[in-house]
Amino acid sequence: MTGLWLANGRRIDPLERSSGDVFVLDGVIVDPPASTAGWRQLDCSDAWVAPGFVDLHADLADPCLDGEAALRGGFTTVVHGPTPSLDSAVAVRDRLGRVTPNGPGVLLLPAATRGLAGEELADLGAFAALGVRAVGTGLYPPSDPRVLRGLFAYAAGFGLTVFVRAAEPALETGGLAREGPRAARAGLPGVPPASEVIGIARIGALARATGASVHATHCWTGEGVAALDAARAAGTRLTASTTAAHLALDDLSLLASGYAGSHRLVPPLGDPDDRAALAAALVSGRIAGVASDHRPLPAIAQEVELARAEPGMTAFLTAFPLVLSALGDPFAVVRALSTGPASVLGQTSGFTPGAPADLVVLDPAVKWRVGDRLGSQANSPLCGQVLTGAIRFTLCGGLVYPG
Amino acid sequence: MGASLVGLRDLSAERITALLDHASDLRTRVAGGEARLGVLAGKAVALLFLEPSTRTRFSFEMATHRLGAEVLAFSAASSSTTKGESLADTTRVLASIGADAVVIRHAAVGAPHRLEKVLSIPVINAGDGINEHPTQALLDLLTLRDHLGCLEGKTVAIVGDLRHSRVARSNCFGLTALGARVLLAGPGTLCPPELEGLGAERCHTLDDVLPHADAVMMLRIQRERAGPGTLPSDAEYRRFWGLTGARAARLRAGAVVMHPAPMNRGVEIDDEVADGPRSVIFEQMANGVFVRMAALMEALS
Repeated sequence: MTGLWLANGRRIDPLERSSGDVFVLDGVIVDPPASTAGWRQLDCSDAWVAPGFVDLHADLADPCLDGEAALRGGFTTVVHGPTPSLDSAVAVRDRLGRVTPNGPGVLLLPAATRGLAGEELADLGAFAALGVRAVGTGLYPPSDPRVLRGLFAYAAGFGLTVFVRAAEPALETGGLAREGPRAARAGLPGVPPASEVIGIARIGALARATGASVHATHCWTGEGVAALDAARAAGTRLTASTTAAHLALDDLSLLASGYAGSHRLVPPLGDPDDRAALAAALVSGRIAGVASDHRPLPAIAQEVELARAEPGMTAFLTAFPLVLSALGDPFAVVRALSTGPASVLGQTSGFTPGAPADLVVLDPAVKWRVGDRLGSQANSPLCGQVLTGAIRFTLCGGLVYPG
Repeated sequence: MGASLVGLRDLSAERITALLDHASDLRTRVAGGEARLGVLAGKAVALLFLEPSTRTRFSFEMATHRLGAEVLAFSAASSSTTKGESLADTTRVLASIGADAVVIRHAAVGAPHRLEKVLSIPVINAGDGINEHPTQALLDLLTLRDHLGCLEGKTVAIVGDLRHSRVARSNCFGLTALGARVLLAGPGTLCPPELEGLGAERCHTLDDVLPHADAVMMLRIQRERAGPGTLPSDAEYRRFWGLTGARAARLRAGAVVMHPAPMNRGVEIDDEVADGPRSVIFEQMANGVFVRMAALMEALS
């Protein structure tokens, strides 16, 4: 029954703009106590105190190791999935049983279609009965628009939100880089931004027609942001997110890497104009949040030619410094990583007394080097780079990380 | 360690010119009766052709033999690449067996660039996906220099499937480095706007290009790379983009016609042009051996 006193930090509360030290008792935020005698004091000087990060997209491949990595990265809630095998009620029940008690809050995002193949609907009603609130279509949406329409209509009937990456899969076949003069010079097959534009138009029209709740993940182009605006102007209700890598990195880093497999991402990194458009959309709230898009892979998966490399990066630890580098302003950063993603999930997060103390204490000035082979930090385009911004403490479920 | 040659994208005009001069010198010596130059005796060159190839492979083999080096030939079907070994491991094995340089053709863009980073021996790119084919471009540049002299200010048109052509990409880099003007012409599906990133100009019809060109490089239609919706028919292609006899007659005096081969005769180029007086297609192939000798000598010196 020890109280925690988060002392001398700068509170970053995008919703209420509250300020002052934060007090936590038994994992719950409380009003300042009459006496702090016996309270454990956490030094938050020079740091920002913010609601814990909420990850809209990650793969907790190892519930224990990756759960711990999430906490070290400041994430107190993680949406896990979809993966091809998380496509049945049995698999969902099994995975719910493996949520680690001392880890971050986990929301399962099962596969919306069997094996994520985009052909047959998974048992969405059974998922909903298990408490699932959203399903996802994975790296690529179903290519058959009849399946997509059916999915939206069926999911709407169970109150499930559908997470979809807006894309036209056929236009992305073989693509490795954002289509444009730089990819042409590098000899890399391009992915056209038109894929995202068509994808947004399609999911927007089908969401409108079916009344489904739809969330567009992995937004990566300026053209896609404009398409979102257009869809909303037409009356579509659609939330959207991007990823830390797409917000903060671009094709220049892919080209500088010399075709390194560690830069294989789906969708590919955009160009500097895309980054600017994504940042502006986050600041204005047209894109609600930034996902880590964490996907740990064995080293061999990316120690091959770029075209044969599996897409993905380990991303929990680098999410905050990347978003910080792109947005700078503390309120914008915390909106992008905490309150914005929480709103997509229908959650609120903040400092109201009585709320669970899912909090993060951020060092905005600390520099650190991304290790080449540091735990699950193996597959990352950022290996060897020095980043600014680190997590001092994460508070989750009444515990403090690191200890 | 000698110099790798993974592409022309980042090569200086000086280095390209030195390679061409070297190739030209080797050609003179071979023509003078020195069929075998023992300069690389005792060296071994691994030829890793992981994509089908006959002429480039033979050309590298001949270049290696002429220099007195051993060939370690390697074919995908008989090798450990079919057993799941990574490319990096396969080539590390070749280096430990005693290969002094690796020549690689690979379907994946950037494969030679990755190898260059992990290997302690030089790497020569013999074609990586749609990216580069530097020795092909060097033999084209040598052929062009033979006929046009200095390439600065000359205009070279490259016609056809520019999108999927590693030959075109390497040639654009080499030609622009040497100061030539490059015009690209092809159907919209195969000559997209982003190719201006190569430092070349796009033209919308072949007929606009012909009167301005000092050389026309016809590219092979690569049906194996073209997706659906790329081209209507061979007849349509020939009508708008084929170098027919009538079109060739509109070329400037002294302009030459090139093709990296193999040719789709009657599609991108007619017989009478391929075998006609402006054609330097078979000279290109002969020059291939000399530029590859020069690249191998740079790598193994």
